[in-house]
Amino acid sequence: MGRLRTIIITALIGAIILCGGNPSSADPRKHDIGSAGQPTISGSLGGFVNGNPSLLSDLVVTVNFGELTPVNPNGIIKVVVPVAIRSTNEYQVTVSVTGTVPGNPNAVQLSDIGFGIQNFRSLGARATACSANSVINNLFNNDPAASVTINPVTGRASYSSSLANVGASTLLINGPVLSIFQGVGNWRRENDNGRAFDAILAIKPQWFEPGSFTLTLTFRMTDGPNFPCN
Amino acid sequence: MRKSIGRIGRSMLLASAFLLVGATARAQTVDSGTVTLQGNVSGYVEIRAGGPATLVNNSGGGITNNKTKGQSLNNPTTLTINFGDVGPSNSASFVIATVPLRLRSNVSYTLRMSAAAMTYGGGTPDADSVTLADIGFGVVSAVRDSTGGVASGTDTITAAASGDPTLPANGSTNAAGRYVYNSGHALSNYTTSSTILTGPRIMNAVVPTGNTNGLVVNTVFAIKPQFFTTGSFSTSVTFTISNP
Repeated sequence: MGRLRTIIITALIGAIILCGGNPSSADPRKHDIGSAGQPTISGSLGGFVNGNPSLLSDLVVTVNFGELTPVNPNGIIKVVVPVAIRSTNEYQVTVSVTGTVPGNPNAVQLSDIGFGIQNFRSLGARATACSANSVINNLFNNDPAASVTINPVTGRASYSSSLANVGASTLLINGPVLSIFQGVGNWRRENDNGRAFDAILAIKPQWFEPGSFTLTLTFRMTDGPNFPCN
Repeated sequence: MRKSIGRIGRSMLLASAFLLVGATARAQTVDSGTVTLQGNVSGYVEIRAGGPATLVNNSGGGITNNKTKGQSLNNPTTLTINFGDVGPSNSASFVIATVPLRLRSNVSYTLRMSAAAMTYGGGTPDADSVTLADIGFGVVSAVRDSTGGVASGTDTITAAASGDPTLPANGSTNAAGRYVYNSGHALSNYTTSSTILTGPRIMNAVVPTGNTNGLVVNTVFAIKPQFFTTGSFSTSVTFTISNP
């Protein structure tokens, strides 16, 4: 009897600790970043994008811009990577870039690759209404293919924001809880329980120094600053 | 009672274990995704019109399909120069056509020129007809535009082709009375593609449509009117830029 009472008391305390509402401070926190659709590329010559279009897949995308000299007659190469984000609490998404570009100033530099995010949208019924209040870092809130200008002195293309603005961990967007869920333990990646945005990359063919480059953009989703879900 | 306290104590101990587990589970979950970016830049060279061609001292000649700076010399139409009458009825010393070229590249370059065999019409050609040797040629200047992303560099005109073919230093009348251009200053010296200009990279990283700047090369073609055999003649000149 005494042992039974002990078990009951323990179970009650445990239940109090482990069970919560949607969401509560007692919830484990989950952040999820994945694919929000098929990445696309336009204006390339010999370029391609690879990525899984499933909303249930991880975000693993390979972009090859193709030929970047004037042999590519297109005005600009534009890549759109749909990114899905889900969370059980406040979140933030940061981005970093790794890899090197050639030292020759006429080679492709980080500043030659425009980067921005657009089209922040709901994935569906189980996205919180308040998630629309998320705040996009204003610096990156543009379509680089549309914002590109040509420096009248140097003749080189420049963008409102580019990979040169991306550091080791640069904030892209933050906001409140994204997912509607019942118990974090039951939470999982679904087709409709979060939001998405388009990460847009753009580069204009130019008289770059011959060579090639490989860079890696890493989108990282973590616990964000306090952001009430109102 | 002591047993109850002991049980409660054990319960609290177990509860603490739950709390500890809970605290561990609350650790922030991090997720990430990656986008790998690749691109390629190959060597690229380009030749275009450096501006409108001009023709002076001609009699009944003219230029068709003339170009503006940056336009292709042969697409969709081909620049054509008609020297007009180059017989004695033209009293000018030389009929002179100037053809500006614009070169652009992201690598070092070599500019070559070749002239196709002469073709004739309106009569049977003979030794006194206009030949490739009767058409003078020279590169009079190669100047990089000073703005608009043009790289600095020194361009070298092949010595034999350098200069205005109409200058006395580059040709003279021979004993038979026919005007003869020095070696390198007549189209007969270019029946095979020959280098006329070399240099380092021309353009910095610049949007190709951002401006029309580049390396402007002024070439000159000339014919001295003489008692040539009557008839018409035609040849085509091809400029080729490559790396190197």
